[in-house]
Amino acid sequence: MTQESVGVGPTQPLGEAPAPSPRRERKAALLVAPEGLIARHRGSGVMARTAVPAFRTTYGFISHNFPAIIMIGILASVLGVLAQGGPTLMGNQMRNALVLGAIYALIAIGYTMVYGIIELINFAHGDVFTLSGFYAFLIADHFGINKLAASSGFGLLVALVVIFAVSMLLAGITGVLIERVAYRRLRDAPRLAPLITAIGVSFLIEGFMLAFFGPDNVTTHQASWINGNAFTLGAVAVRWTDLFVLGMALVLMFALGAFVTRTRLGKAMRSTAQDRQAALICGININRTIATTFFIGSALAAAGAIIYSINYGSLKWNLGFHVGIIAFTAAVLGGIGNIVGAGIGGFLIGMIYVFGGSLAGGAWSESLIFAILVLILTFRPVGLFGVDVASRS
Amino acid sequence: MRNPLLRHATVCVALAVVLVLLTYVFDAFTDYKIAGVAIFFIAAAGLTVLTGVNGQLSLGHGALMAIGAYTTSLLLKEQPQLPMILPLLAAIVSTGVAGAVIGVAAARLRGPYLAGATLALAVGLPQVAVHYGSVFGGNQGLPVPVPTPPSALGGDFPNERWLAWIAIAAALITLFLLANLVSGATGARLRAVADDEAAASLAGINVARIQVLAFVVSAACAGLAGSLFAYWVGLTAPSGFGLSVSLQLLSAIVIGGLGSLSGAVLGSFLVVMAPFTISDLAGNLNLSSDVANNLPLALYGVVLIVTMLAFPRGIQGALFSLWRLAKRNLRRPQAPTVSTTA
Amino acid sequence: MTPVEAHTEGNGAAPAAAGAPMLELRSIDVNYGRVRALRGVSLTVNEGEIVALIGSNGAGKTTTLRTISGLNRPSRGEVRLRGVPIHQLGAERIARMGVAHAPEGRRLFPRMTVRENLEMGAYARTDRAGVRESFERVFTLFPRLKERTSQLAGSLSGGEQQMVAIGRAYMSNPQILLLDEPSLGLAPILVDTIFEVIREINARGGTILLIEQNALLALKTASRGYVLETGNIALSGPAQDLLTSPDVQRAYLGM
Repeated sequence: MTQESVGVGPTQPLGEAPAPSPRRERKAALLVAPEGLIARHRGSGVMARTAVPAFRTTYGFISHNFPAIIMIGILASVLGVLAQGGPTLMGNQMRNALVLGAIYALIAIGYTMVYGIIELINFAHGDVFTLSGFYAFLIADHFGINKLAASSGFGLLVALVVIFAVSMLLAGITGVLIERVAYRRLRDAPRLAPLITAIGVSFLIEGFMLAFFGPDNVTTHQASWINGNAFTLGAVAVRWTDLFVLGMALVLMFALGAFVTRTRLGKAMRSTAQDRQAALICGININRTIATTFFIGSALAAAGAIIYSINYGSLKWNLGFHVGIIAFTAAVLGGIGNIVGAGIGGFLIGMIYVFGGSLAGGAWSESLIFAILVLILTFRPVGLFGVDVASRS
Repeated sequence: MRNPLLRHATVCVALAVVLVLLTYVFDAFTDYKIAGVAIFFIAAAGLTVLTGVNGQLSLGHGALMAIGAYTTSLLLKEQPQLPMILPLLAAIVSTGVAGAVIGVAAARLRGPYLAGATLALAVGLPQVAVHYGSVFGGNQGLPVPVPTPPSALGGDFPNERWLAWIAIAAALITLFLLANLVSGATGARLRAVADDEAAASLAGINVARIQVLAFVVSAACAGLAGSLFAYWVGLTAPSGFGLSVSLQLLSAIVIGGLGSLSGAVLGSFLVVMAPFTISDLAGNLNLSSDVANNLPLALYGVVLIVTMLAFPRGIQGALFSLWRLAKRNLRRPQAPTVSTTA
Repeated sequence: MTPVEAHTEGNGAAPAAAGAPMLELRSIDVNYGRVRALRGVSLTVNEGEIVALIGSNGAGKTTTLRTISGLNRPSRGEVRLRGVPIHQLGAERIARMGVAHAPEGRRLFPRMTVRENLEMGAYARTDRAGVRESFERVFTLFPRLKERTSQLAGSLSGGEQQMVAIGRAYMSNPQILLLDEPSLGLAPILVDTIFEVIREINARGGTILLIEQNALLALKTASRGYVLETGNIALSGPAQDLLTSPDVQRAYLGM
């Protein structure tokens, strides 16, 4: 607590070698993390320096055990819902939380990957999510995919494969285009310049969707694709949709994990995120690597959007704005730059949103999320699984 | 003029004269837009001190403006006859205090985490007004009476011009105070902390205190702007202070030229005027009303992207480079480029 | 320190053993904003030799290496690799052409394992067998690393990190190896190990451009040397001659 950590700049200054760290390694949790994570180590800052010892001890305790506290909080709210509405309500809400969490997780991964590699909060990401939902909607309506999905079990399978593959591809291309046009030229510009173009891209996509799909909810037809219940647990009906949605999200996330840890391009992504110049002198094509990151992030957002569409049956031009902010919170909760953290953060946020909202009243769900965000940032600025900056500087 | 105080005062007085004369030239609607630019500039100038000079990113200045606006509206709800200066001052004080609280929390946050925290503020705070509708008027908001010009100005003096005068006065006072702050010793400290916190703290600067100070100053400006904004719109409602206001403020200062107050002026002008111009433009394009009504958002996005790509250091930065280039060419008349054209 | 204008550039200074020029810098200027970091730097590294570039802090040694590997762009002059101009190319292309750079501060990927760091060094290579061979060679040069393959690079000691940095550069099977202060911050015994490996790499035909503040060690290892002072090449010649030069002795060897 007494150590004063020195602010680490956005990129590691020349000549500053990472000192040997005796800390335990958490390899799995640190797939991609920004090189210059700028948050200070907990225990520095105004409060820790000026506060009375008792307060400081309490603060340190909370800070240190923050993941456990969050888990206990979630568990308590789950039990609260159980007490309030019995196992049926709890089961239904658990199902809702997992589905919502899967969507947040898929979007959060895109935020975290892009931040990890170019240190940009990609404001357009939430809108790419919505836009790719509309891609899927248009494809399904205009190429007879809806009919195909309704025809038979095999038809449904083909329809799902087509809709996921094509939408993810289109979304990926969209992401790559955005990076190429709006961000790449500003890579060496002042740090806030690409943030402004990101805001511009966000407005552009939102305005485009507003102009073409109108200001109201658009009903997609994918909600009727998958019917029936897989099984029932007590009074809780688990629909095939729920299983599919959750399975799809998990498969994609594990595929991403394998890609990032096993493949050449995945390793190039991680190395570029950790030290771009060092990656350059290893002969890594930075532009292609960054483009890949955008492609994957956007494609995962597209998967999230299709899942959203299948589950909720409607889309709206500014949907990505709200969903995006919550997903960004999930990324921060998991420690921004950390892919696994973003995945877990997404599911945690889903739980908090559903169970907290169930107890406090639905209108409070979002406020609750932001209260959590403020708590994280107060007690654990690096997120639940973030990189401990002090151990590296 | 060597004395910066005198120079700033001269510039401000000159600007005041020009702007007041201009309000006579333009019609009421243009005066109204000028008032909008001036109000927006106050908040942008405050954000310049925080983000541009001190290096702390805030995505939550819209929420701070909301605090100022609600302070004003609540005061006027209780005491409708208050002279305008009191609600304005109350807004500055209340938002300044809020800024201090946020600043203390923010002093330990950097980069994306500070962005996340202020983002939460921007999205979360307006919701409070919705949740406690009985006090804050919910989604409908609270009405604010239009400030009327004193009778000494004559009976047919337009309200818009009077509002423009007030906004201009407030903006120029803000400009004067902030220009002195930024060019003085405090400004040097603010910049030192932005450049290198470790070095600044080794040089004896209390980094956390400077960061909180920047937040307070910046919040006070946002409060004043929010209060004037309430008068300008005639209504204080949560929808008026969403995240988009915060994002526009940030866009204004970056597009204008991060860290410079004159950049904030340029940026405010662009960000406030662009939507008006774009709406006019879209209206003249003979598009179906659906598209015409909804296209401005997209065009506004394009403006942000194109401006930023063209001037990565902001308009102010581009002008500065141009000026340096011109000076170099003037100083060396025998430069080869000149001789070949001759 | 007196800026000696005794700069005798030319192949005449090179020992007879060296081969054709591998790397040539011709009157390079580099600017950082308005500050000129290098002015008119020319140097040659011949195939199969170790060349030392010595000089005090801020003389421009690191800038020289960064310019060769494309991280900085010269405002004037040429860099040629085997006669091919490379100063217009991006760092990535230059790396693929066989310039391997073990940079200042090592610049490992701290949250990747030792094995992954080495793999990234061979990123541009497609010959799997060759890469496997390079792994073996790196592990022969640095047996310590073999025990550490699955450890995160950020958790290694300084000496081990330097080994990974050199190993990573060597993994690309380079035409020329640029080493920036390999001895910096290491215990004397480790410095010996590192320099032994540098000689070993050279003995197997590797061409090396070495930057050092430890001028004595560098000149003892190298066949030729250049002395950089405030962005200029002040002296150059066979390492033996530089070691006995009174200017060098006074300024860099503390004699």
